[in-house]
Amino acid sequence: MQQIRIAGVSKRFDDYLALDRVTLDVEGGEFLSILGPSGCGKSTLLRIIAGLEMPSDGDVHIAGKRVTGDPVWKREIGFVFQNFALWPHLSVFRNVSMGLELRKVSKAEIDTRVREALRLVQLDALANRLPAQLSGGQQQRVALARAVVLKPKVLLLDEPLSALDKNLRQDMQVELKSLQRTLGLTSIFVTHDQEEALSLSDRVVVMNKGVIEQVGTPQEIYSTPRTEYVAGFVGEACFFHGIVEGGNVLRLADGAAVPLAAPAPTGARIAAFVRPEWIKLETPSNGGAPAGVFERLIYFGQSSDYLVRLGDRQIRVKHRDGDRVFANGEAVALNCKAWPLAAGAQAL
Amino acid sequence: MIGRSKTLLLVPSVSILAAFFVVPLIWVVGLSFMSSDGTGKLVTDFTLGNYTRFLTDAYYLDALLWRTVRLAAIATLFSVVIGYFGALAIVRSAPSWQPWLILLVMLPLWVNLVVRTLSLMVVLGRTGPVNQFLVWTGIADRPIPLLFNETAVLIGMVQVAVPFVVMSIYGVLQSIPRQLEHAAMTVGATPLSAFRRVTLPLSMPGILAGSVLAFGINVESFVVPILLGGGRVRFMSVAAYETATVSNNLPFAATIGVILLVVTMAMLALYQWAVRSMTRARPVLATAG
Repeated sequence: MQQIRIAGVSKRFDDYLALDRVTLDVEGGEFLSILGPSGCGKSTLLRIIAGLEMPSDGDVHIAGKRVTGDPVWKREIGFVFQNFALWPHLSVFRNVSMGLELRKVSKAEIDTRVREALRLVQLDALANRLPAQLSGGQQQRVALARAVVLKPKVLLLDEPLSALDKNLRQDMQVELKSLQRTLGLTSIFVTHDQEEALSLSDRVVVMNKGVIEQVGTPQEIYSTPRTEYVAGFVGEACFFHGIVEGGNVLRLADGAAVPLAAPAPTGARIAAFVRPEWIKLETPSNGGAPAGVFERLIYFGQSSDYLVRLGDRQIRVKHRDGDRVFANGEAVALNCKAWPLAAGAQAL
Repeated sequence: MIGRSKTLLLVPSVSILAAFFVVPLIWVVGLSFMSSDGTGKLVTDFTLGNYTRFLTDAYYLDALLWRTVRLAAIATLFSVVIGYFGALAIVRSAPSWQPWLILLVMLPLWVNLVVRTLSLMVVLGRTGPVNQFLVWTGIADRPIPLLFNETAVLIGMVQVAVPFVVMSIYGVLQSIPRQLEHAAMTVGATPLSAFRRVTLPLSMPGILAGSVLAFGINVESFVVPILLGGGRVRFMSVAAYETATVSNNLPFAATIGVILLVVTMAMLALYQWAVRSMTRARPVLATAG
């Protein structure tokens, strides 16, 4: 069943169109990420679902009920803000209990439910602390507990992890995901971090300039994107532009040929891309593969990248075990299959 | 070295305060334990006579001290309520408007207090715009006396104190992120209850500072009770001034001043303690339940 329906939602700020007829369904229990750069409208969309903004056009349904005109306090949502937005004058307990107090829940039940929510985020020992006495990660957990204690129909998260440092962020990702699974909460997670979106989500929505570019599973978004924008945003990509020959080879302007990973209409002028880990560097032969010059190796510890100059651009290639050693300045050939975009994708 | 140069920086302000504030204050306190003979000549023998005279006379206690404190407190209450709404309106207005609204609030402070109070006398007078309006709309069938009574003094004191209250509350309100109210709304609070549960308690320091400021200004009112009270509304500072200049009894004037100072400080201390313990007790009480 669809837990959230967004139907043709637009949002205008004066003469600026922040959202342009966005339509999206979210299934019950699904973890959906909205991914995009700042200013793409992703936070506006989330705030419209929450009721913190009103759409200029279109409808929002939550759990089968049209809530477009309802103010935020009437929608049964949980919202986690980017800077946590904890109430600094109230204890952890009272931060979590306020929603229940407002619903006139009995004192005994408030106590049980708040303790349960705090136990869920491992903060039951700190109930009497003030937010200022907590670390960033603990504050984040209070914000989560505050949202889930009300058993909301949907959980909306606005870049909740971006205020945390990297190690903590990875821990919180794991915790957030397991909390969401445990409670079976339908969640919408807004982020500009593609790794976060790919690792947490059941589905990812990629947004650009107020419109949805693509919706799909993390694998679809990463490996088989439909547009250059999506391909470039969710990961490192090297693009090739040329004309399709024989349905599965892309002939570039410099005469090199790149095999395609999916068929495309012969004669079409399209773009295709490869990820750094799809490329294997080889000694040039007469196969017509794109040729470049090996520049250097970048060592990261866990892995390494090659930098290869390809005409006037520099591309990255993932180092693989068993690769032979290349000398700086040595000529290399790129052995890879490119994924066709735009016109090519529509032919699939 | 750094410590010494810091101390050096304090020297000008400390010496100014010592020479022109602390020393005169000590002198006034000392003076209040002396007396003067019939001709106004100072008698330097130690006496509690001034205090006994003040504290045993119902006139001084009720008509002077109690009226001063009572009117100052009522004016403070009005100033804080009016000032809070003003500050809230400024904080919630468009950012480009805010400096201009602040300027508007500060504007009265550029005008001399006597001039301001005199113009208030025109406004409140028998033929002033307020009475004209009341008669014209039929709310009153003839001009009502708005001058030379406690109401006039109250209006004057509120007028003096409101800008200070607005400024001290504005500063605090501005530092409270709007998102905190939004967060309350996401857990089911209406805008009103979000304000009551989040913004209001968080702005307590501003209310506290504003009311201390307003009370301190009002309790020492001098120009306002003279002009708007027209001699009929007696105030501590006015009485001290008259005792010193007209009756030529400097020690008793000093006593009036010291009693006002002690009562003011005691009231402010009590008030701060009450507000602090009230705001601190809330989360503890709730978690206990």
